[in-house]
Amino acid sequence: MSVDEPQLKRRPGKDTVGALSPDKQLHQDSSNSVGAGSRAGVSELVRNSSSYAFMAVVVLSFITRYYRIWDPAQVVFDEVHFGKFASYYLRREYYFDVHPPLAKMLIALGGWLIGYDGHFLFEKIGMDYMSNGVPYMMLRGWVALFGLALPPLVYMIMAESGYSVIASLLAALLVTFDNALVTQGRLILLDNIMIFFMLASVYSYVKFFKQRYHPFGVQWWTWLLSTGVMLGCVVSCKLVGLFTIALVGVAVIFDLRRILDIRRGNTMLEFWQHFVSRAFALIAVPVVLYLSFFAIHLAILTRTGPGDAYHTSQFQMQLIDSPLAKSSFDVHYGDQIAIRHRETGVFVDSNSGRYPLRYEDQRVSSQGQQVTGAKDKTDNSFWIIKPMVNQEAFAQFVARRQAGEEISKDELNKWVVHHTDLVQLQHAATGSNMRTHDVASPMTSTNMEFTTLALNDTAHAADTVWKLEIDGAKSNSTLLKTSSSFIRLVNNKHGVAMWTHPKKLPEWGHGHQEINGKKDPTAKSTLWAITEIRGRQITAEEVEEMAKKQSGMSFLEKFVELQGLMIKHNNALTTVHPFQSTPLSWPFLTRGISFWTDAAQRKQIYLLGNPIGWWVSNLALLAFFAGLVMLEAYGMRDIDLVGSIVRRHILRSGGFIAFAWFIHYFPFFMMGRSLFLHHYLPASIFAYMMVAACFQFIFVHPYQLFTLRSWSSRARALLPSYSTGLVFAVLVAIQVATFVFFAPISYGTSTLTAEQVNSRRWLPGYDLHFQK
Amino acid sequence: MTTEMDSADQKARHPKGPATKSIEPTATKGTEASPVVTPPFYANWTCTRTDTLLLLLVTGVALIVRCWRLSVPNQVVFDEVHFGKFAGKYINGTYFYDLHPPLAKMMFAAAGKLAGYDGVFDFKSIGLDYAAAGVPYVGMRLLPALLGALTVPATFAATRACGYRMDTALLASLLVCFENGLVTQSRLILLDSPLVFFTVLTLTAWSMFWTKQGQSFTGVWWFWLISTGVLMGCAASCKWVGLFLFPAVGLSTISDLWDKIADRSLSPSRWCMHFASRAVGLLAVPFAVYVFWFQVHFALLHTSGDANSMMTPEFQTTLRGGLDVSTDRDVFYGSEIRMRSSNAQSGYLHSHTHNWQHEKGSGQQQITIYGHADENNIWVVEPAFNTTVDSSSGPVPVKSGETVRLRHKITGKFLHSHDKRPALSSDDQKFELSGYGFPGFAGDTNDDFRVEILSGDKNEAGSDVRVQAIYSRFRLIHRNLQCAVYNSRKKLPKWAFEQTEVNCMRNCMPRMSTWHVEYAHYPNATAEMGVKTAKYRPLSMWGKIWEYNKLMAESNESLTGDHPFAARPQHWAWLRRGTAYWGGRGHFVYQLGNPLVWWASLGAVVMFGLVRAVLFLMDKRQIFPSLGGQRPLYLSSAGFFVVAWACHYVPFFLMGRELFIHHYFPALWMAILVLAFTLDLFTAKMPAIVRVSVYVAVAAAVLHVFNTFSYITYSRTWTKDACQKTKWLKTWDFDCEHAIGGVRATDPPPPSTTEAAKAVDDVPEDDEAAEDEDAPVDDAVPQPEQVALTSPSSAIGSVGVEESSSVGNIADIGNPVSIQANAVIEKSNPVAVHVEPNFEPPVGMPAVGNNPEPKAEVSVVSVVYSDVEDTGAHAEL
Repeated sequence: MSVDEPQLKRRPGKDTVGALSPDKQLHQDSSNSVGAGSRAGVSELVRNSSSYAFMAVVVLSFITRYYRIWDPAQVVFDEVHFGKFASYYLRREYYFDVHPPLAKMLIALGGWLIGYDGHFLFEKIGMDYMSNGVPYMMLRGWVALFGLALPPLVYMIMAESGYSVIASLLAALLVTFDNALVTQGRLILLDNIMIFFMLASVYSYVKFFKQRYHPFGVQWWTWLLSTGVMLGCVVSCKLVGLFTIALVGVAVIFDLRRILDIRRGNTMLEFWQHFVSRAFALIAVPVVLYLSFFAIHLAILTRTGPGDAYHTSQFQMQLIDSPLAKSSFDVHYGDQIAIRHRETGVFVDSNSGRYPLRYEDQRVSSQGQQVTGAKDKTDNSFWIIKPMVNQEAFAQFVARRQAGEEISKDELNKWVVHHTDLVQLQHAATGSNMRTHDVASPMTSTNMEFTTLALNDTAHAADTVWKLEIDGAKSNSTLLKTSSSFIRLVNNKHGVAMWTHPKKLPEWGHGHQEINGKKDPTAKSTLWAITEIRGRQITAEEVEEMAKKQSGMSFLEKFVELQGLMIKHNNALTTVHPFQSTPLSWPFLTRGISFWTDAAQRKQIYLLGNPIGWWVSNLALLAFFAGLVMLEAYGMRDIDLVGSIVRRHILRSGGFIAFAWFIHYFPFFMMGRSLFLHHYLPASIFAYMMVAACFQFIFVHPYQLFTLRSWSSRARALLPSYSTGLVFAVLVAIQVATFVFFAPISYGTSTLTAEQVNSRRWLPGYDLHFQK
Repeated sequence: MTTEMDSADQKARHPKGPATKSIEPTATKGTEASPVVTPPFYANWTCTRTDTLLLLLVTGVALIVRCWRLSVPNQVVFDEVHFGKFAGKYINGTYFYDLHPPLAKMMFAAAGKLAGYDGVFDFKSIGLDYAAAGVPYVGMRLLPALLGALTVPATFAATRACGYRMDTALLASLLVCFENGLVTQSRLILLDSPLVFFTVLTLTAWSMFWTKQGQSFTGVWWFWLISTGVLMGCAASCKWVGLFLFPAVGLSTISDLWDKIADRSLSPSRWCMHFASRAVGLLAVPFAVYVFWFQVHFALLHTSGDANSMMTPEFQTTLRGGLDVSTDRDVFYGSEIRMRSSNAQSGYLHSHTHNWQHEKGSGQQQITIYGHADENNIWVVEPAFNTTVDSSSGPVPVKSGETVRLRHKITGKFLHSHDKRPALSSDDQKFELSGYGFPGFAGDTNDDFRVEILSGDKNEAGSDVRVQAIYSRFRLIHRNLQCAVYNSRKKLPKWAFEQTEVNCMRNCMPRMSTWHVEYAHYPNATAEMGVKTAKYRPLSMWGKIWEYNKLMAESNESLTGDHPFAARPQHWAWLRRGTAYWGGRGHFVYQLGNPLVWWASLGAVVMFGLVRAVLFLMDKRQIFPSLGGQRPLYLSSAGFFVVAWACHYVPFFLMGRELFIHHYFPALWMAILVLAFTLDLFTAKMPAIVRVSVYVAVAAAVLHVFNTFSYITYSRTWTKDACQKTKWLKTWDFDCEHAIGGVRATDPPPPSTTEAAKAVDDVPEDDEAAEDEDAPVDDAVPQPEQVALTSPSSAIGSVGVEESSSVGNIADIGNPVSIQANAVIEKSNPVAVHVEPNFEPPVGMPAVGNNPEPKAEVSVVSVVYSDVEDTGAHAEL
């Protein structure tokens, strides 16, 4: 193709573009020139078409979301979790979850407003709401408000971004009639709320960007701060919100790059003002919000609950009625203690059994007395803790104690155990000291064998001395406490720590766990706790005294701990779920998720997007990327296919939507945790917007008329041409028809025969129930 | 052609020409361009006589550096365990499986063959003696040494081709030559030396290709393009890390092709030719090379070996002496069948007269998957509970969708499932499978399974409707629970003979729940029935390559060991720690780079990023720093290698598998080039004398550091003091106790093997006697030089002091050497462990002829079993 073909418009030469007009002049854009001519002579209906379209979207959205919202009156899918969490908020009992708290608190807020007391715990999918007296309909209705808001928000974003009424309406209707968004949008689930804030952030940012020629004005600040607040909310719902932050972040970088360009006429000072104000609103504000929501979360959940066990003992003891606080008291030398492994829960046990001479792999043992990990606490699980200093005084103390002599509190306190003390552990039942030595352990040949040593064997006494380290202790004066202290027993001579793992010993070991010395004493798996002191009962005064002495944790400390746990457990969500899927399969919608079934009535809820809608939006994305490459490639040869205004709009607005889709989708490929179809829902909305963007580009002319003005002030000059209207109608009709066709499995309200189920099985992966 | 040449010449002069090899395409195009921005750079290097001389010189030096003390240590080091062994397998032609592509291993096999290795020595564990076994290991190590040495002149050429002066090229090759890590890696039989070699050569060829920009589509231009492709294919055929070359080379290609669009002198058809030539040279050629090496691989490994069972039956039939199955084709009610889980690494549905023993199980008869074909794998197809099939007018075929029962032929029990948890899984999607039934009991509906054929063979009509042996792939769906018989691939405990678990899983994907019949026999067959036979169809070449690569991907993913020297990528670039390869007496091998080179090269890469960012900001304000006239040269050359470095480094952060510092070597080489370019940038404006002095100073420092660490590189004898002084970072955990003066540099009492065995048998029962001084002996240590090689992950190499002491408690009798030695073991963890996993045949699959399972006996006791609770549990389902 020759460059000089006459029908191709030449792009303006570099010289003209090179002389960019400064910001301050550019804003007197075409609001007068474009609008004025076309406004004349249009009917009232056309003038208000945008408002009518908007209202239509709201009404349709309401119908689709609230249609028989009381059905099914049973717990569906993850309502198990999020309903339960709402109940915990209302009971103020501490729970732990991998998601940040905002969305769950909002669900609970709805419950609180309608007077629900949180008595129901949503234990199993399929549990009946009615018989349990749960105001589930109100809860769902409350959450569905957020779902209801999604299509109108999509309309607003599109219209604000310079798309015609008809294109904006198209995007909003596609989103309205998407089965997955509807299913997700009417149950007690988080995604709705998260997506609401996500779209609200995008809308705010678009509004903010349009204020770029009036920097630092009231409007400018309003929308900038609104963007920051919404970003803070979205990331406080789910950490997926970070993708939205990345989206806005990248947009801001491009914007700053524009401001930095010297031809825009900004001074460096102005640039830094722009920079700092954005950093404040888009970084500081969200961070503060994120922290505040956690502060509220922790302020609400003050009582002990199912989440205790995830936390450090210090954290747990802050909770009202914590069982830990009731069982945490000082350990004294001479006490008989039971030591329990933190991860596997076994007690250190010893019995007169010995290690066999020769193991199956022909290695040979010391034949010493076994030290193993037993599931149950028996007489064999108690060890007397003995000091390495003041041994004579200790002997007297023990003797007096055994004689039944009353020992004063002050004297007793002399024998408390501290962090980094050197101790010996004498097995109460057999009277020998715990020892480790340089013999390979039965099952783990790199670790040291644990055994015991008779008291009279002084030659190897050094093997029996242990340094007691309390996890997290900051000074040597930290006291060893039962239950709440996690300890490491590090052999003073060999530097190995007592450790065990879930593999069981062969028959000779009574099915106990192997205990051995691990060379890396800092591993998390070397932590043990003292769960009991034999014969010691705690008195009510002691509990009170303990509570007084309890050192508090600041909010930040609690936050850091909770945040760390969330990340850790989120990454650990790797258990294979039968309905998990890989990100690659999402846009093609090859499989859904079974949410709920009712075998008696042959009803089911199956999360599935609108297949045609999703496939069409894939095509739109593809078309956009292809078109973009073509435009740019022609641009490289200074051929302008579409005119500079259209070109800029495609690059800027289309590019923004495409990147939004990309950033809400591709990071999932890098995640190791189990993923589900509903993780694609945020991206699917942007894909739908892309359909509308392509529609606008191909069918709506003249394109320019829409690109420059806002939806509330634009002259809605154009009725679409016949063909445009036809395409619009066809697209919407197909979307609605598909939606209605799949509605029975999206709403779960109607009984389906086997044929009806099978007719909906468009792809072999749609493993719907009741196919036979 | 002439216009093309003209345009190229024009480009060289005209600053607005398209950027070649520029990572910075915006600099000259679009609205923000400024005439001040310097033109894009490409070099035009042809090898002069001085170049040739210098090339020869650095080659010579590199050969000396790589080959010095090549015979030390004369024992199996680190992963030589694997790659030595594989070389032997190529020589013998026995099939094996490994998770790396074949080229590098075949090169070692060739080297071994040339050196006279007969493939007998099995490289079983680290520390085995080569000399004693008469293995020509020096010949085999010569190959990596040679390849390692050749990377040095390649570095010189690459630097020159990027447009740098000779002194910089010399410095770059010196940095590569005296890099301890690269030297260590290229002295041993490991895959990384070939990989680094091909990686370096690919990028050298690619740089050469750029120097031919003015001569598009000439012979020499094609030569370098195709060479790049071939070398890239070879790199990927050594290790998959070589695949990272594709984004590295690809990004620069895309950027170049993109810029070429703007070149008005290039007609669209011409541009398409450019595009097509890159597609052929950089995609098709490497792919062909990769496929070619796999073809060679399969041609060499023609005989069945112990890794057969890793592959599908269709694959195994292609091996000489491999699977050769021929069976009746049709399956009828009443047929005796053997069912195989249709997946690589699978086995047969199996049962035997032993009962489940796990906590939440039923205690009924075990159902497992077992790799060995025996009588206990035979099942009889029977009609569903309470139904009959009329076979009077001939056998009735089993069709898809029909419900059947499977009766275990020997014990007579039916395959059964119910609401009990299987042995190894506890989630409520999975149910136990058991064998259930006893004489006089008709069974129940929990014995019923629906046959669902997923696919048939397209050449066998009806195989997708009627069950045909070999050809029909089907699932068995439990009638009441709607769960499918599922191969969990987990190994059962000893009480189930470590066979593979099979359970019944709801909502499972078909992959692990697909079965086929491998043997079918209808006992009442009559001659007139015309029995048809079925056979596996051997895989085609593509099928084999596809299957092998799929398996490689799976093994790579599942490689999550707990190796003591594994290292995460965030620790590589700053050389947090190395890898212990081997320990001897007075000397040892520890893989550690030249710290100076690692740190400086990392700094150079970071500096490039900073420079680029500052330039971006300044350009926006229309200040155009020229970097002393070096801007285009520095940005284009360093930019390319920084991107290549990122392509070879960043993806590792996303990998969950176990990683080691040697994965960084390709990226390291790229960083070293960036370092050389950066030094050139700084010294470009200096007077010659200053510049040379700076270079000499850098070289001297690098040489000094190289020498300091050469002890652990070459396994030179060292003193403990010197060793400890060299621990610049606390995290470098090489074990100075191996050095002279260290406790592990001394010989232990040398016991004879027979004495050892005797002593072990004689160890008395009581403690006191166990402390007898004569007892300390080891039962498995014939090598006097070897010390404490314990492997946490496998039994290989688990011999040494630790156990020798355990025999008789050396520690207890107060032998000071041993006590200390062991104390040191615990602290410094000197274990040298090989990295690669051993791909043993999967669980439940002993070698043919070795059947550990007790003989099946029908015992009356085990048949009588009340299932009251069982049926009760079904009632609610």
